[in-house]
Amino acid sequence: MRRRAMILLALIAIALIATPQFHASPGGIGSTADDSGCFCHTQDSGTESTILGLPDSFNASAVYNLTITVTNSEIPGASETANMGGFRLLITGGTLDFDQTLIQVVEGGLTHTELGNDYRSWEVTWTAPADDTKVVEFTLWGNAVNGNANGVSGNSGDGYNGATYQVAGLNAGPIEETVDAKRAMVVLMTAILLVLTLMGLAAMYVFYSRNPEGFNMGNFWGWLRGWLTTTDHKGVGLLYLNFGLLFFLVGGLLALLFRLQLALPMNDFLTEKEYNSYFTMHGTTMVFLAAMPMIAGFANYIVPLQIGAQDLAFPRVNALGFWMLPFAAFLLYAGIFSGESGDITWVMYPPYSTSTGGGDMSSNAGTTMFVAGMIMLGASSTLSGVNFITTFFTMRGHGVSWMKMPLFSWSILISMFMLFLSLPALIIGVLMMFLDRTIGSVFFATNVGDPILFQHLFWFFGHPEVYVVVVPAFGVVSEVLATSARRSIFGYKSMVYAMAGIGVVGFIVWGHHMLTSGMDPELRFLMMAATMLVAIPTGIKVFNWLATLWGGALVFKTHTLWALGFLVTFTLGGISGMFFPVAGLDMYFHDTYFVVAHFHYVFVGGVVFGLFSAFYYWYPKWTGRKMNEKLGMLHFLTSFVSYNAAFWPMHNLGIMGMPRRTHSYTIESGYGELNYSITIWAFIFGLSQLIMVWNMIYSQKRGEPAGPDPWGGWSLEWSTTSPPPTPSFAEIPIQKDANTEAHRDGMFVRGVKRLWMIGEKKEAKE
Amino acid sequence: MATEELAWKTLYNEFMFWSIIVGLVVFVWMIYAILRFRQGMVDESTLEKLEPGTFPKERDNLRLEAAWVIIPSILVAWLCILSWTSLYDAWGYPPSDEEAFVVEVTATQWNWAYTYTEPIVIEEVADGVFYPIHVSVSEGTILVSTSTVDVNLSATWTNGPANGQFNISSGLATQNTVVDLHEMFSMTISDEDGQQVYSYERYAAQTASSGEVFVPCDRDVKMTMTSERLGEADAVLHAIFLPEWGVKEDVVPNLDTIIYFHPYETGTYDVVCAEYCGMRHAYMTGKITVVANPDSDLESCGGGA
Repeated sequence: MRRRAMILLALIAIALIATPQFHASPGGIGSTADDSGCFCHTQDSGTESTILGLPDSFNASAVYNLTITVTNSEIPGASETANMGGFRLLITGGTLDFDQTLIQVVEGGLTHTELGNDYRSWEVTWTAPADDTKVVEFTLWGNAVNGNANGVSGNSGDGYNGATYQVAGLNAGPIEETVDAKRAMVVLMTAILLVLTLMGLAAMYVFYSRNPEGFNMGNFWGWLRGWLTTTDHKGVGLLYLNFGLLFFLVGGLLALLFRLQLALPMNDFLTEKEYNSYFTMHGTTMVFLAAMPMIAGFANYIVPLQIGAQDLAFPRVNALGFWMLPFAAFLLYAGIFSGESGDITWVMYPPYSTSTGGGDMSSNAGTTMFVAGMIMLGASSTLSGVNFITTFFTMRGHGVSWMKMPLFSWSILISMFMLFLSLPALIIGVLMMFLDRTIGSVFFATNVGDPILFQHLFWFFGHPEVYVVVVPAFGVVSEVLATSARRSIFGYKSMVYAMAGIGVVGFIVWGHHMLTSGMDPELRFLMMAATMLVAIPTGIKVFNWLATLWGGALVFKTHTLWALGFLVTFTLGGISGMFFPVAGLDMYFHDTYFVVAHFHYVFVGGVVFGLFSAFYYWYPKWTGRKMNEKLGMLHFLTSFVSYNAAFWPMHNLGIMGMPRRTHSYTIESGYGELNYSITIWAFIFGLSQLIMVWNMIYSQKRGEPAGPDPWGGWSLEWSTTSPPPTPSFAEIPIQKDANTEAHRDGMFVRGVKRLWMIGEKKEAKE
Repeated sequence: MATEELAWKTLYNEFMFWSIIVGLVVFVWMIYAILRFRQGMVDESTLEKLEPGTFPKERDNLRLEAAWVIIPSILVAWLCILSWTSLYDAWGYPPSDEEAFVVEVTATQWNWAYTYTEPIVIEEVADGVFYPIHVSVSEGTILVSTSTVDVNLSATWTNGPANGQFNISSGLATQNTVVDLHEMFSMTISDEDGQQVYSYERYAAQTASSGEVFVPCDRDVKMTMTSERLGEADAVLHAIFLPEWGVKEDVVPNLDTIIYFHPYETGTYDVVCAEYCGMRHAYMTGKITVVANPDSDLESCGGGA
């Protein structure tokens, strides 16, 4: 049975591969351009096949008289009565009229008749198609014959050659290179199959290595189905983490590809369209498919354990939220296989992103899929937002009052609130964009709609989004630094208020992305002042971390190093962030590499370093084994050095005036040297991430056993076993409190608390 | 060198100063803390013990925390005041159309086109020409005068579709001919050996020029910008970026945005597109040439002395 199916599949495959070959025509010359052409004549580059009378662009339904001419100075024709030449003409639009004694229709194209081969030129009339937005392609093959045909073997000394002409309609866009649809489909299917096979094999290996003796396929399917259908917060969390790491590598790979393009001035390693798609996909992948899923992963795994919940409030919704991601990712990437992926940057500004039908001047066709993927991502994130907020409000364990909650949990609560409140703006924006692209609505059209509206919608989401990803990193660093210094965090309450403050202020600063967008000047001042305010709560956090270190006994584990690295790079990124709200400076720095440097310092140096710290910190919790410290140190050193060497010079490029999103730059601009070194360091940074991947695989089997609390942390997740049982707590745990009397707040904290009206109430109830 | 330091550079230096101070405070503090208070350097028995599942004793210090709320607030307020003025420089009082040199910029994919609202004249004297040459063009006359009578020069001019040539002897020539001042006028003057000694180009008002723009030195320049469609594609966003003067503003379809700046030195500088506008965004560049302004008092602008 299985063999028969295999044979059938093989036959179908062979048939599919062979299909394109069946277009060859009689009459000597094949019809496809890369066909060897003619089985009875030989090709000769001296032969010129031309069509006279072709217009530069045709009018709809107009009639044109064309003359097909075959010339070859080396092969003179014999005489007017002997054989002199032949031709074959294929067109993709319009109709042809001709003298039927000399010309005949064969297999959908024209060729000469027996009588007609006594000529070197033929007259035809072409009626152009009624649709003048088309491009018509004329494929002509001409054969110059020397007339030595006596009987059957008269082909020696003849020579044929072909040419293709394109005539665009009057209203057609510029002539495009047509993408071979068949090839794109083959590439797509091959890529999908390849990825699925590799993932299947990897999963199989993981399963095999757990118990080599007891391996059989039945057990494997059961195990795999367990992973694919899990609703446990730990399982879903690990799925999120693996997904995030996978796309972190994919996004990194895209970055390395366009770093190669930028290494040299006037490079042509990537075409402009490819470059534009790659940096679009890099940005979108890193924010939505790498950083966000990794954060969701940690939140899923750690938050219920920290707050003493058995699972999230809606476990199935949680799984649904995750499983929307692979499909969203598929939609986002779908265009890449046809060479027409989204090229609208991660900020998707219309009218370029809603511009269709203008050929190379408009955005790629795959952008529609890209926008659909964004809608799906929005849906997925909304589900997580609802789920986490509900969990926090209803499922905290005994003694876990608001002001006794670990800082990582607080950071997730604040980030989920921000995400939940800001997402509608994005979803509305991308929905309108999707309608503009598909059914021709005019929300962002330039004549009746408002393209700047989208910028407001996007950044009303986009700026909080920045804090949505960076606030959890604050939470991680707060946990890691306190635990590593072997003491509690300094100023717990002010940390919470600082994070909440960032959460509130984050909503009124979106305009600093749009200072040069043609926005109202009065709004600009408001946005400038509000943006500067963010520095105050961020400052509180940095100083509290430093005060936590002061007087402690710091242990240098890998996660500590990453947290300290975060402190360095995030401070630098925060400082460079102060340059942008200033009108005079933003006029210069907006959309230059200074911006690129800044947001990579906060995104990579902030978010990713924080997440790396979290990976090393909580890895023992979900595997029961510590990650290898030596490999971890090596990873930190190589990454930290190469990271700074790669991204710091981007500040200099920005000051020199290099705009971002540029495919290339001139030699005279002088950007070449820095870009060259950036590319080299970027590769080292990219490769050093493989150390961590290897460390994760290696330590799963060979790592040092960890026990429930390897680092000496205090929060509830360290009180269960590693890995924790399912459900995570047999009964709702009780968090004790080391503060003997109600901890007396300072005046400042009391004042803010009274404004906030939370904290004491809950404690009083319990 | 510009005679007046550019606003963004002054601001940049001020912000850099405060950045370095903040950075130094944080990094010195941090490095000292991690070196001084590391494991083995501190008696760990003095530290509060952490128990899993127990919320630890809170540690805080109102004075310290208040200090790092208040001091950064003062710094932020100071930085706000610093940047306040730049707000007016950047968007406050655009020069009026009468006093400024106005250029209308039309951005398409992927080209900058410029329309002048008043004529601009570019004169260039070849190296080694010691005698001054004065040219004035009016509707009916082309007048050329030099202070020397010893050289014989010949002039060739074009004016829209018309063109012609004449000789200049004894240092003066008046050519009576119809000159259309709405068309571009250009003239070159050569000496007896055929060497070009002088060139004169006059861009008429409303002349659209593509790729290169000329503005006068030492005068406010105001650019009014909009974006237009080309072919089937929609008009898209662009942003004009003039790195030399540190100004940038988006160019939006159906909206007129403006930028203004004041060149203090003649020369040729870059025009860059800074807002992603599609395939050839990176190559949507051009040149802006600041030409000598005889009315200026500045030597760097070809006036005064």
